[in-house]
Amino acid sequence: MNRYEFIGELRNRLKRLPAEEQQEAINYYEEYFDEAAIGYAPINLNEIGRPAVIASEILAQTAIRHVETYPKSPKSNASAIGLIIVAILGAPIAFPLALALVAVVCALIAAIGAVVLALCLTIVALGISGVAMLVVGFIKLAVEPATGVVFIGMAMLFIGITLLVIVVIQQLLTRALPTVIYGVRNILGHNKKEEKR
Amino acid sequence: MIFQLGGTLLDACVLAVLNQEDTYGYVLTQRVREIVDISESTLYPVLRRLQKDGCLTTYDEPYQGRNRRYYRITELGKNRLDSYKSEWTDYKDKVDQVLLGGKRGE
Repeated sequence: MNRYEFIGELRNRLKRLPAEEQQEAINYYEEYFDEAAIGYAPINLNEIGRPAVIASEILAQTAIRHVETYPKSPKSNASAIGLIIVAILGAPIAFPLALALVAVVCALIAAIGAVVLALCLTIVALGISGVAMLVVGFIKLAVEPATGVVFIGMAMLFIGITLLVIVVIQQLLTRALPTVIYGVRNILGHNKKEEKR
Repeated sequence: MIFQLGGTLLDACVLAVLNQEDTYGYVLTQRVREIVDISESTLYPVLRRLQKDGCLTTYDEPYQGRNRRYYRITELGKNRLDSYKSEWTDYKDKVDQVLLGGKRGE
């Protein structure tokens, strides 16, 4: 890596900061390289350090300052969280960390999906057995009235539970899910807006 | 140097160098590198943070057709340096007591 690649990577990683802050950082390192008489030749990264580390440090500072300045605004928290994530992901050690994060999120989604699927299947089974018992109950009613009544009663119970749970699931889908999606989009959408600036 | 120096001591060193005279990034880095094992690019985030805290100000001076950005310590920075110095003296005395085997409570 030579000084131009160094500056380019730094600029790239600081994209989320206001333009004048980016420029100040770049000016500092341009001046530094001039003073150190570093030209086109590859620089020794062990001596100079890596732009990713510097950018991480600066972004983390910005995030902390953000939270300290506007502690109660959810908007500023969302963008501070965004900055912290970028700061962590920008660090060279972050790749395994990012991988673990993705794995955890995938596992979480799979687990929630499995629970929902199991719930739905249980409800379907309950409904079907309810209907079947209702039919059996009516047939039995003619031969053994007591048994018939028990079957019909249990059938009603099953069908009732099924209908109740269906209502609950419907409510969850129409109310809770949009809230979650909105929340996620809020965090992501906000960050995207900042990147464009 | 085999002892690791943490972030606060780095702040203290930067303030101490600037307390002697105003200087610019390159010279400051070389001075701090005499005692702390940091890479050459490390100081910018430190300077930026100290500046945002109000401990430093900057001014530009032209040099050979380009700029040198000088850093100057503020009153707030001097106050902070003083508190770092007294913390350091306390800490150094305690380390000396343990490491060099001085007597307690003297």
